[in-house]
Amino acid sequence: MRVRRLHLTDFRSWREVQLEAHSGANLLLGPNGSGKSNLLEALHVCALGFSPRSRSERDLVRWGADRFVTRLQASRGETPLELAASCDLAGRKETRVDGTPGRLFSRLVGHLSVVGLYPEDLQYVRGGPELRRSYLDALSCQLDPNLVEPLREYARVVKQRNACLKEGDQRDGQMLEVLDQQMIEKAIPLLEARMDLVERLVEPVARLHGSLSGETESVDLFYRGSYGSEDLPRRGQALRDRLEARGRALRNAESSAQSTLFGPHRDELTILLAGRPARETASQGQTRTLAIALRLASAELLALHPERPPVLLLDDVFAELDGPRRERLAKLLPRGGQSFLCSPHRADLPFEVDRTFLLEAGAIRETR
Amino acid sequence: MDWSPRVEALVRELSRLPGVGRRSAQRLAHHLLRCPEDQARLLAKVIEEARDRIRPCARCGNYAEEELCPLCVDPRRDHGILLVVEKPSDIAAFETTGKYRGVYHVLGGLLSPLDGVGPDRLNIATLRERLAPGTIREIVLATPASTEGDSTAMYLQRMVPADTRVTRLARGLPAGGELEYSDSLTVLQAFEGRIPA
Ligand SMILES: Nc1ncnc2c1ncn2[C@@H]1O[C@H](COP(=O)(O)OP(=O)(O)OP(=O)(O)O)[C@@H](O)[C@H]1O
Ligand SMILES: [Mg+2]
Ligand SMILES: [Zn+2]
Repeated sequence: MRVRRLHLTDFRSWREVQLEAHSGANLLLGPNGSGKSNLLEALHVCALGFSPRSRSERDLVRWGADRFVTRLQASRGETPLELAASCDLAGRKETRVDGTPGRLFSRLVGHLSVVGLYPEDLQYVRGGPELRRSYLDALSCQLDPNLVEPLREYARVVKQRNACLKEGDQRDGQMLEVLDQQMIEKAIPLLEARMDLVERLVEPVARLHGSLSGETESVDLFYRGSYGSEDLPRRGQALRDRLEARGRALRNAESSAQSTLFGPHRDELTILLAGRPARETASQGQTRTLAIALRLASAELLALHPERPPVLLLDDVFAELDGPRRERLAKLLPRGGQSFLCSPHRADLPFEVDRTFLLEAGAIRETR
Repeated sequence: MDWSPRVEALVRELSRLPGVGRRSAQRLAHHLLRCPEDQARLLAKVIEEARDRIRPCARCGNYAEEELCPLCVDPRRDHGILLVVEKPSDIAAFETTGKYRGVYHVLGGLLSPLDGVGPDRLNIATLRERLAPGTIREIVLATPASTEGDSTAMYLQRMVPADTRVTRLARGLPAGGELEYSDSLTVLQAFEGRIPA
């Protein structure tokens, strides 16, 4: 799988630009603020349907313009693939997948595997639980796009349920019971997917963190549900029973909180480093290597799908690492696939690139 | 450009119609002002009469001019099978298939706490009466395939007496798909393939 061409109109700092990519390593070279990360962001939006930096697609419109368009041509083996997304200041969205129009950005996911390593990834280790939940869900959706719709539906049902709890004084409580049942129905496949994914991530994250940091401290991942202290059953009826029991136990607390206190939207992925929560105890450098390990592990899982070796987006990751870690990261990157790297200096790079693009004055120049 | 206030008012009111933007509203307004006078007056008259005379059927909530709508008083329909829809226009989708011979019940919306729509805001009390034990053999819950359509169906299912069969439309319809815009073959397949709820 490889990106052939990226075309942007009024996306972030770019007025109009096109990039013809090499099937190997592509380097985007340019000073701070020259739009390198913006280009990677556009690739990310086309492939995954969301920006790694902004919640609102409207932020992606170039200041002074009223609509952005980003179009990506790729190939999957011999088959061409075209993904396009646009959004205007009013928030009206359009997408195209191989020419078929639609509106939701979420339909873009699942066609082109992409894994990005960004400086902001530190937050996946250090930030709030919602970030780790979104790490898991975004990866789940790439591995199985059939989860996109259930995720949206689950979020909608939780909103309805919260509104129902706010109304208070349920005349007969029937509506709340219906929403309980519906929420649990929608939660089950999401929980099964998350727990399976965590199980698959444990080994690669620990191994990659070890290789990258050169440290021997143990790394463990562990899915903590909002369902009491015992382990959550892995699937089916036992899982359903636990959710229902949790709903009954929390009934009063939820009525006074006027919101839904259990379910996938309240769960936590705990990362343990040497047996302690990394969120609280990991050092700056350990946080960074853990964050990179999470991303490289995503790439490994995606690469198991033979048609989908992921395209890597490496946003200035080498600059943040010391010499030995830089060398080790270079060795750990999956070989043979396509990558886009950006950096303000060529010197930061511990390996050869196949094509270099110089970014200057709002234009891209290809050099040798 | 500034039109006379009456032209402006006409454009404004037309542009409130669903699917009519300002541009088409202007086109419609020009048409209404230039077409034969009888035609424009007739349109005004039928709108007024329709609004005066049409009210919800006291039994099913469909459009009616009398106490009951034509479907509810039709002795050739099977009054033992009830198809529940969100809005009157959904009835047309089933009627054009020509295959459904039962009667209907129009809810007038879907349950949605987020929008402040609870059971009291919908035509649910009369449905409860219609479902008195021994009257209805089968109830088909034909609410749309959306989270709100599902909650509404699940809510209704709880008030159906034990001796009534409850079914839902097969998921032939696209998720969130509108019945009224689906072709009659799709609607027919969804109905024929209905599944126990
Ligand atoms: N919506 C927008 N419209 C126009 N310009 C924008 C918009 N959003 C961000 N920018 C500009 O884009 C520039 C940042 O681009 P980008 O983050 O791609 O830089 P970079 O090349 O990655 O820099 P660095 O090396 O510092 O990471 C900033 O100068 C910012 O002002
Ligand atoms: Mg940058
Ligand atoms: Zn009627």
